[in-house]
Amino acid sequence: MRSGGLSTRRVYHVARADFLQRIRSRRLLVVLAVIAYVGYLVNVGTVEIFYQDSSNEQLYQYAGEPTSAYIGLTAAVTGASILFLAGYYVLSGSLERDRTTGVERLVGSTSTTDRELLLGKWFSHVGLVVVLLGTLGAAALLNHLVHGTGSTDPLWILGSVFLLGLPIGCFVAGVTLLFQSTDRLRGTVGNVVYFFGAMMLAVAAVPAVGDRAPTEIPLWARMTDTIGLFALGELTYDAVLEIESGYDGLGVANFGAGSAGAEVVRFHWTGDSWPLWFYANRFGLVLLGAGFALAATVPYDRFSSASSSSGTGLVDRFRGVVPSLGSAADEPNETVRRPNEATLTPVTDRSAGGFGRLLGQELRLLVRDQPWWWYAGALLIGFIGLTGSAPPEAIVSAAAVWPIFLWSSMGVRMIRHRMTPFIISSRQPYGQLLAEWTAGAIMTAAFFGVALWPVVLETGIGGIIVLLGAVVFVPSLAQAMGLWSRTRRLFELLYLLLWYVGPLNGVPALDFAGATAETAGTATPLLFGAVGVGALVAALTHRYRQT
Amino acid sequence: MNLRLTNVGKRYAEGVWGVREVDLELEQGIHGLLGPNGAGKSTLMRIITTVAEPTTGNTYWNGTDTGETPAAVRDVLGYLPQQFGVYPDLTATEFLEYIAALRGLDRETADARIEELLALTNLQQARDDRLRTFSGGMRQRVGIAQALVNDPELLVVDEPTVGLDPEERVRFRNVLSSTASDRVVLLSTHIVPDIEATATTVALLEEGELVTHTDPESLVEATDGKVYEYVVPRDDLGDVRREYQVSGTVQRADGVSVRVIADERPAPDATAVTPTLEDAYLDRIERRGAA
Repeated sequence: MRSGGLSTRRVYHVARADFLQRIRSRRLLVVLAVIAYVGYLVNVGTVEIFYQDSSNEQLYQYAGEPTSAYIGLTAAVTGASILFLAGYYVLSGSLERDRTTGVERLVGSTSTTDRELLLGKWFSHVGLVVVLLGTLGAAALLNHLVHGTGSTDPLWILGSVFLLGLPIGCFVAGVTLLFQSTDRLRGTVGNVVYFFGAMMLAVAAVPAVGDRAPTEIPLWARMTDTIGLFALGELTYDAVLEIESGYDGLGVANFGAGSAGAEVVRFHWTGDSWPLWFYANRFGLVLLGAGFALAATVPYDRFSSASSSSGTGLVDRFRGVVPSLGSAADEPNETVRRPNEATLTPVTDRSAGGFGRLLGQELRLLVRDQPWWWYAGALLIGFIGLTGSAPPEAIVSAAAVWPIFLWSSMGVRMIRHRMTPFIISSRQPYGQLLAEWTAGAIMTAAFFGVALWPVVLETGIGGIIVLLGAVVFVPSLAQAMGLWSRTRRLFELLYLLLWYVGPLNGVPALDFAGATAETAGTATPLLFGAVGVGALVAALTHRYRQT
Repeated sequence: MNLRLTNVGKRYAEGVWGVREVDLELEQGIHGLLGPNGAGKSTLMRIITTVAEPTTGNTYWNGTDTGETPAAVRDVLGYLPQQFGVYPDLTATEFLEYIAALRGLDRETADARIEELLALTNLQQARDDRLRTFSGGMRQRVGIAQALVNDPELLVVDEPTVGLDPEERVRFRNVLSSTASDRVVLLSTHIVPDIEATATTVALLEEGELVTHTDPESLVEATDGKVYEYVVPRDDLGDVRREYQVSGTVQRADGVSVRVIADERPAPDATAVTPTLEDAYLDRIERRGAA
């Protein structure tokens, strides 16, 4: 069936094939297990919607009793937040998979249009979002039967989860397709840009809140609501005032684990009508998502995997400028050796190469072929770090995030390029793993070294332990995550979250990089080092199972 | 040099075997591995190269169990998988340097071997080009070069001539023949003439089981006197295909010249011809299927 030049049958089959391929992945089970666990956490109070206010130096935390409506809201806002911040990394493998498996070329040679293909992919992404939200809703529902207060109302729990989660899922699905269709955004750059973009968008309207009550917040600000916090405020604010009429904290609800030292006061809320603007807001997100999917047809290149590189590396460009360094292809034809006159140098010692040569090769693979601006940024970090011309927390934070472009390829590279049989059947399957790790550790030491040397000089052994902890932790985590997930996105998401909270926002317990200058001499770097050792052992175990 | 497989089997799921009860012994020389799609050739090669673990049985290289000591075979192995990847941003030379490092060669030996293998595989002109710019045939030649880079005692090549043009295919056969005298070479392919031109023995696999392991002459001899050629009208070709195993056809002005395998002369004007390895292979598979 065709409508407006669009074959719904084609769109359906693109979506169906992509969806089936996705839900048959065993890794999805892990994601679903985590989502189901979140459904449990919201019922036992580990994750809550709450308001905070202080009085006489006592922090009060107003959270709801676990009624169906409250649990539905909590599960919904948690699910929407997970989808908004992490959904991109879960959804974005589809086009990449088509490229690496050659499906893209097959589809590209058919009369399926880019619009049909990308819409089909968008529906598949939305289908996966439905599976994720369904899992969360079912888990929240079942756990409410055990842990909740009052009757279990499926409509409130499932309805809230889907009303908040599905539109944001549609939105993220569209953004994902747009990024993955854009050459410069489909790799680590896009992953990092999305992370910061989502963080900024999530809190973009918070300055407009001030000390206003939820209904007094300007409509334009409410319409930017992504994860539903403004709507939650409108729904539950009165219930807080019922138990504490003097509440003068933020008019927007917060959610999460709350503060350990706060006195928790429970309010009773059994549901209310969703504000009308919220329906418009959610509908807008769905439209935006579909719009992004259609906009992705502009940058999308259906033959991207077939097109050859023009050699974009620095060396290639340099060769272009200095012809004498050009490839042998430019030179006169050399004598082609005939097989029957072949005399090959005999190999007398197949163990002469050693670890050093392999390390050199892995170091080359790790460092080369970054865009020019990455090398420029690395040089700048090196210069600023060595001259000590920036505050330590700033330079350490920068040094801790810039090499993510290198680290995130660890563990994944051989899988992505189908090199596994060569490595497993070689004489150094473990050597390759350790060489890749060592190359990563060398680069980590270089970046952290130039940033942390003042701390090391100041604190002595404590600073050295901070440096060593980071050097062990980061490459080990990157390699283990890459090997297990077979994608760079898991590491990028986890690492960026950790970096954002720890080094950048200065939470000492998560500051693996020593940006806060409070971790030297504490157990924190030792703990991160221990996690790194554990991750390295996990990677070696993975290789052992492969061999 | 000796490669021995005893009772080797690989089970993928309950009742689904990739290969089953394979006993095979290979000495120096080129050994062809023939079989239809899904016969288990690639599975067997993955087991031999220690990339896959057998469910049953053992593989021995010079008497050492490679299941217990994989390094025994990895140290001397050259392997070209049927589907393999490369690092696309490395040049041909850099990629071979990487494989040489994985295979444990020192710089001097690696440089010399790479230089020679690039010449041997006719890749000298493209040596400094990135692999992402290579055609399928050029990429396959890089695969062949990497399999030979460590001067392997055991060379396992799975469909090595796929993607090569006829000239390069002949060239590869010659490379294989010229380098096979002092090593064990296991060559799997659908292209029977490649095996006919190079192999000293042929192992025939079907549905995961070893049908026979013999020299090509013996395999061909079994089909002696059973291969005929004659011309049929185009309209009769379907009937001939239904009645006999047709191993070849040539279009002619007066009809179609067919080459059939039959126990008795299929037509009065049919002429008995000398069978090829391809005829023998088809006959053997057909007879096994009928049984």
